[in-house]
Amino acid sequence: MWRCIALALLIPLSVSAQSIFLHRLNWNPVPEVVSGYKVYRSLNSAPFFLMDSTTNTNYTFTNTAAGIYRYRVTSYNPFGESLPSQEVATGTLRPSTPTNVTLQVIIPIP
Amino acid sequence: MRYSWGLIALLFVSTAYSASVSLSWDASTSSGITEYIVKYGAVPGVYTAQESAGMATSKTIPGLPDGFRYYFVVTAKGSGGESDVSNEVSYRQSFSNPPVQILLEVASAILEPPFVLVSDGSYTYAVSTNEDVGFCRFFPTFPFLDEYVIWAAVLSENEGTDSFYVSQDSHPEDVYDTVRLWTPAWQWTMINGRGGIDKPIESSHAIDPRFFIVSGPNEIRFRGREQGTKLKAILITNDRSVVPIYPSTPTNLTLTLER
Repeated sequence: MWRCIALALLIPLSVSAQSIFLHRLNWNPVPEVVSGYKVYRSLNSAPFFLMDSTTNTNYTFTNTAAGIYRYRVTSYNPFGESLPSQEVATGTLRPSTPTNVTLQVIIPIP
Repeated sequence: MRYSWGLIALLFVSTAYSASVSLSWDASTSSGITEYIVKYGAVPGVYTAQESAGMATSKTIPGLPDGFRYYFVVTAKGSGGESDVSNEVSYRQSFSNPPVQILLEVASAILEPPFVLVSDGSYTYAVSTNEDVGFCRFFPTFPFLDEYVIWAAVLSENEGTDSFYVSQDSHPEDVYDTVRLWTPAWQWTMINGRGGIDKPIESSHAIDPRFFIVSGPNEIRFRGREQGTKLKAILITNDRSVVPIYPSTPTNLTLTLER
């Protein structure tokens, strides 16, 4: 179900990179006592890297540079870190490349 | 002629105060007892010290050093001689150190092939690719002499990937069976033993997992036993109340956007 939502998110969010969006991640708390949660991000299918950690069950940030971003979260305590959650994705697509550039020489009339 | 003394049953060992033990026993059923003798030592069956309890059926032995186990028996003396020793009881005065936890990831260990370090994107772990060979050696520094337990973060997905040989410094290896329930999730289990690597699997978990470790640098060494058993970290602690766990995976992650 969430994969479908993640894919669905990609389509309507083909927005201009100049638009300011507030991104909000939400997740369910885990039943154990934990030190907090870690938010990971991957850009354009690169490996995930640690974006931030929080003691809340949500995380907000403003939009980023163009690209397809995937997010996932883990919980952690002093003894280790959980496996990552399922991913959600969003994208701010770069404008398409202009094509068919032509050049016309304009000869000034003498 | 030797007297036939009745069985003396040691009933009770308790701490009267720090580093003292109080023993009590049933009186001998024989007549003509002149005194009871408490004998004790640091090795079972070898009693290097003794004290008379007189005609009393209890005795407090003070001044036992922290951390060492002592073994006690009682005999009865009469005009005809001394009885056989009673049943043996033992007691170890706890160390009085503050609680300590030492967490070591495998990235800090020295690996000897065919132990290799693997990263699967979520976890970095050590695994031996062959049976019975390869080492994963941790070198923790201990703050004080104490009795420690060691937990290990392992992944044991089936019966064929659930053990290591474990040794401390130059002590003999024992078999550590990592789990009783196999699962594809990482879990912390306390290192146990069989009482020797030649002992059958029925002896698994038979040994109360204790490591007497002196202060300073030590080595905790894992040797591959069943290939594919994965090791991520160890936790060494003198605090029996500590039970390390991996937290659950967060669920229901959603992303919303607002202008």
